[in-house]
Amino acid sequence: MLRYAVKRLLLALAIVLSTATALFCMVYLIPGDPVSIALGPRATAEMRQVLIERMGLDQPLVVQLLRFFGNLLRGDLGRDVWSNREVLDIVLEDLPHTLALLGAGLFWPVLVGVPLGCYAAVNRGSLADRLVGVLSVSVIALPSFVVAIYALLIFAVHLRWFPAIGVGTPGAVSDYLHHLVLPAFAIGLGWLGYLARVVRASMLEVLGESHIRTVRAYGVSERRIIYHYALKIAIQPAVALVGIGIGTLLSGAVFAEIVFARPGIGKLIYSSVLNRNYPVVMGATIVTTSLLALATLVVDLINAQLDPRIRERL
Amino acid sequence: MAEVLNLAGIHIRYRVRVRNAGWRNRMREIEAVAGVDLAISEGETYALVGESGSGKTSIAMAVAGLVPISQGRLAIAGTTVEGLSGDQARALRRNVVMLFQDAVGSLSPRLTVRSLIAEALRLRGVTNKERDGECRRLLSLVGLRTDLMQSYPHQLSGGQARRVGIARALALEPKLILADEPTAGLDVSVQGDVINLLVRLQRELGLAVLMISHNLNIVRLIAGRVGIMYLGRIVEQGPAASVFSAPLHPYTSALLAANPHPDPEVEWRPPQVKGEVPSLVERPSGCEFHPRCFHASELCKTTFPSKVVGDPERHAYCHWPLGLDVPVQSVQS
Repeated sequence: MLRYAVKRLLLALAIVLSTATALFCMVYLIPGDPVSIALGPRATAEMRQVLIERMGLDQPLVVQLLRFFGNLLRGDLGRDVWSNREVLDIVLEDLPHTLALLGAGLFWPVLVGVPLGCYAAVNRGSLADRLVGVLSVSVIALPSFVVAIYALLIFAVHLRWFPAIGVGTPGAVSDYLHHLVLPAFAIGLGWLGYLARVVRASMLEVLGESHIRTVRAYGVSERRIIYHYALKIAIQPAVALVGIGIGTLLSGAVFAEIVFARPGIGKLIYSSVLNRNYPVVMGATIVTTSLLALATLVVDLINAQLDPRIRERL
Repeated sequence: MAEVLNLAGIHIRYRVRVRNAGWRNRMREIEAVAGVDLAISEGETYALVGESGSGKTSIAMAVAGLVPISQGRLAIAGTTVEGLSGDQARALRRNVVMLFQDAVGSLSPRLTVRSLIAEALRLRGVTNKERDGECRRLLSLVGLRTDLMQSYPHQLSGGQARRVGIARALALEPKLILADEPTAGLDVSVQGDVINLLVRLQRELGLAVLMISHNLNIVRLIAGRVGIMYLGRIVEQGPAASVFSAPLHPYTSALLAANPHPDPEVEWRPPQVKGEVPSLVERPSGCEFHPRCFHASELCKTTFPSKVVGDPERHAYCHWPLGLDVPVQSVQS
């Protein structure tokens, strides 16, 4: 297990490093240079020269890359070309909101979807199973921003149960959570469908395997077969799916963030791309990539803990 | 000798989807096992032999409680299973343990050998403290090194997995082992090992074994009695030695003829059977073997044969039993 963990950690580092390098190179491939964008059309040659030197754009590429990695290690992601603020500060300011949304938006689908899929698989062919099948496909097909808009209309505008926009007053936890409900519902609904389907399918597969039949023949209770034997194997694709969900939602919750006017990494990256604010795009992407690498690392470690066969595969 | 297993008039029916039939009658009921009587006593080895789909595995699964019995009476260790509560039935079924064809696949992939055996010990009510020692004892009983306790199923070889399966089966202290193709997919040398192990355990522990096998050489070697199955019925039953040396039923004789002889000098005769196994959905009329039988007469096409008793221990269902020009004794079944 330890060997696997170390190998897997090295792999995660390699992923982060290569993404960072790719991002760095991308700046040179994208048309439009940050200096002219930042200074506007009326910039003088001297002003351009100053900014180029300050950003280190006159150095050879290798030096720039090494300096870039050196800064990364010190936690320096550069400065916003517009506001001259530290990129790290900007990212860290929005990150908690994204993490809260992501946590809530994936937590409730796991809590509901896994038992639902499990129930459908155990009672295969029943009315409940068919209902789960139909409903899961329909919620997967529903884009999250549509859910967001309807949720807003029904629960915020008509019923007035939840606030419509923003994240609430700073420091008030219950207010913050209250503001979190609708966005978490909107982004989580599709994942609920995915998770229920994946758990149902893999549970059916595992329940049909011969080792399950064997313990059944031994007279192990059905309850123990489901929870102790089958679910721990069948849950693995769902765990992997949650890892993918984290990756997607880190920067992909942008629709929900826009609809509910929440600050967040998705929105930050979106607006920075429009402004050609490269340091912010890079910094935010590096942070999300690192978090994604961390999430998949944790997911893989959980699965390795669940299944000894995985430990030997890497 | 006490009876460990008694099947009386067992029928097992499955609902299956029939292809190329109108959508209204797509679901048909087939009879995988059609009225089987079978009794096994303590310490006995009984082998069920027959082609694929003849109902051998269905019988074993029904005894293990994995498949419902549609009709008939099943008794384990003298107690009828029908009418027992779920817990009582489970407890009774612990007297019977099944070894499946797929030995590696039958071990839960995420448990070590120790936990696999410990689970069976838990079911028997062995306390936590005693489980390790008991586990060691069982592993050495089946001839495995005890350092395999930390291994996972995918790290075991086919032969080791089968031994672990047997050790786990023994952990329940069963009276009867149902062995479905105990040697399938093993090297010939390992096959020998597993068979020797089964024979030794049976002798030492007084176990009864119900073996299902295609391998007639192994059946001949270890089985006391055999039942030859065709389309869900036991068409011939009796002591292995006499069934193999003088089959009564033409199907038995055809099966024996199809079995390759290990001695290359022995002349090979073409199998005395034609065509393929008929579908269970449309059973042939009369004697169900008549479309494939070289001895079939008009009588065979219309009338189900009655029981022919060769000697007190043997019987077959055939109008024209081999080696007996006139049935010694014909009993209406």
